[in-house]
Amino acid sequence: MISNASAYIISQLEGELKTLPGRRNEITQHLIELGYISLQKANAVRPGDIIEAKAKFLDEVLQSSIFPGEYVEQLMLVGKDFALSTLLRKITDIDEGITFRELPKNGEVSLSTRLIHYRLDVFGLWPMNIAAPFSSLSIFKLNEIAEFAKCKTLEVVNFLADVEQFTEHLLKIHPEEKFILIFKSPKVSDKTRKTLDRRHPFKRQLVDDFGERADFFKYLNKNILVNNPKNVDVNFLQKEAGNSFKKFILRLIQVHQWRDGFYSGLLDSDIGEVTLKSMLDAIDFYNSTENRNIKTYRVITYVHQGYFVFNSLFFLKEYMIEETTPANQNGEFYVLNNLTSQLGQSNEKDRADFSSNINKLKADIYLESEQEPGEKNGFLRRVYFGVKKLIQKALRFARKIFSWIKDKVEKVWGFLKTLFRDFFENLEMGIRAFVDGINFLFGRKPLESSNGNEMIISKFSIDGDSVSITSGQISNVLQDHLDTIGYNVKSMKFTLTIVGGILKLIIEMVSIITWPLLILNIIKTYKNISASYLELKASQN
Amino acid sequence: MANENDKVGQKNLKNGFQKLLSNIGEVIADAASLEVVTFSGDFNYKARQVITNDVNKVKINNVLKLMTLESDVDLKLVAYTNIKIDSDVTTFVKSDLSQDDNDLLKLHMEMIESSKTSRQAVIQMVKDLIKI
Repeated sequence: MISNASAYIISQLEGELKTLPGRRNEITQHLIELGYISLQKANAVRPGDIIEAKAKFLDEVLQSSIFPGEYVEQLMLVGKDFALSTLLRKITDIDEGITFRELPKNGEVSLSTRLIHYRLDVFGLWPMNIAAPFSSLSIFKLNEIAEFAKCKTLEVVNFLADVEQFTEHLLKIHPEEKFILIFKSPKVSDKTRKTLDRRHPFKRQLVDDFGERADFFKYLNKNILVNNPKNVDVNFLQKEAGNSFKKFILRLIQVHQWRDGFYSGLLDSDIGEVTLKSMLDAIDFYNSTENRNIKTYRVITYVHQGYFVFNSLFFLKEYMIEETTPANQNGEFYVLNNLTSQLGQSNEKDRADFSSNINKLKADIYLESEQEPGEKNGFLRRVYFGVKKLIQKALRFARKIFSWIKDKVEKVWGFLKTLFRDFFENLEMGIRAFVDGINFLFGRKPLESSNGNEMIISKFSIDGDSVSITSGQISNVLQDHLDTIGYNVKSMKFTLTIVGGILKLIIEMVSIITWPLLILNIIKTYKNISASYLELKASQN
Repeated sequence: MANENDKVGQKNLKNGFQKLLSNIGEVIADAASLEVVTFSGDFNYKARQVITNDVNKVKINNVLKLMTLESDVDLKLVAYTNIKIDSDVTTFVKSDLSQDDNDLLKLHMEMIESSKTSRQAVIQMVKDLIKI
């Protein structure tokens, strides 16, 4: 029998679960993004819409060859919402997204066509319903990007599965001046314009960086970045602001900013106050985290009549492209190990501050997760859930994360929220598996199937013994019950591996165990075991 | 998350895990054989009560005792299987099986397989734990 002291652990962990962010709104957001729920319903989604959309999505998943059936089954063993959000994240991933060998057929409506239209939509190039059949319009829109990227239509679809690689490709094939952008932002406040009106230092920097290597730079220096605003060539500004490639690059930057958690506004190609602020925040973030002093005029200046000049070449190279090395593959473990190691070595006050602030971080993430998806002016309010790029960034700052949390550094709080949203999800799954495994071990998990007077109850104990009790004829409930047993026994193998992994770490540190240390170790163990478990299952199939 | 300043919470955490590890050790130490039992009866509420009464180790006598004490339900033993650590298998099956009892036997046979799988998973977990 489980002792009171052991039951205390379980009740504390179950209490912890209630404070963690849920996946409900995330699933709804993705279902709207992929056209399973219409955008018009986004502000008043009914439970029936969600149930119907989930069923349709799962149906299309099973019909497509994108995910092996065995993989989907494995995910379902962990939990239906877990499976749904994992699959939806993979579909909507633009960091390490799904790639294609061929384009869908004309008239096709499938998971693949939704995915392609979704990618076009993220880049502001899909004017129709995401659920519309694949058509000549789909090809036409893909070819718009193909022209910018100088590649074939199918290559575009796959480029959009990895935005970073796509950006590097564009930077490689186009001359520098293509990335000096001009945009009009008439709604930006006078205060922001005044703050950003740094034409002279911006010009000096431009000369330092590019000299007069191209006519474009010569023209910019002589006719745009001039002392007297009256002499600015507004026609040139207007023409440049309408350049379709440069408009696309601005959208690309908005997508990068959204993906990195700096931009939480709508993906609408409108460079307004929010987008501008996100760019300035990014500069500030890297300055403060890397002890640098990059001035805003290094990147942007206000010119005249609502027009800005933006050095996106510097911005993209400096902030949006992360170096990819083999070490990045285990970036999240490196980050977590750094945190646990610094926490283990810290003094009592630092541990207390860390513990208190990680609770604040969790509360902030929880509040955000409770915000339901919504639509404004035809655009969906959305959050990006891919983690590859995030982990690369976290790796860049791994040694600083402990003190950022301990000192609650406001400038990086947004970044920490995005990073820990992923960690807390793993914590939730880890705790669920641990509690489930312990309940199984101590026979606290009876499995019951009933239908009217028919009933079967089965229970396993720690050493595998089992007892079943039936009531009435059981022919109508037997198969359901056997399925439940089979499902639980399969998932139990996984949960017991998690229990073993966590207990093993506890044995090593039981004398110094604290709640934050336990939490970080549960995240580490769950991430580690679930990754190797899925890998093992994949290799067995 | 418990507050780090809460010394009592930290102490409870440490004690809880020490006790949990000890609980697991105690129960596993008593695992010389595998028992699978299937009962049938005509009840609803009382059977649920047996389950919630924390019968942590399935022993037929204990279950029967509880049923006797807490219920006047006519509980019939359908099948009992004992698999010893040296793989000796003993099975008792109710003698007057009817055609309808086939479902009960099917349940029992499936439970034997599931119990073996469970046992294997627990053994694997313990093996992993002691490989420190």
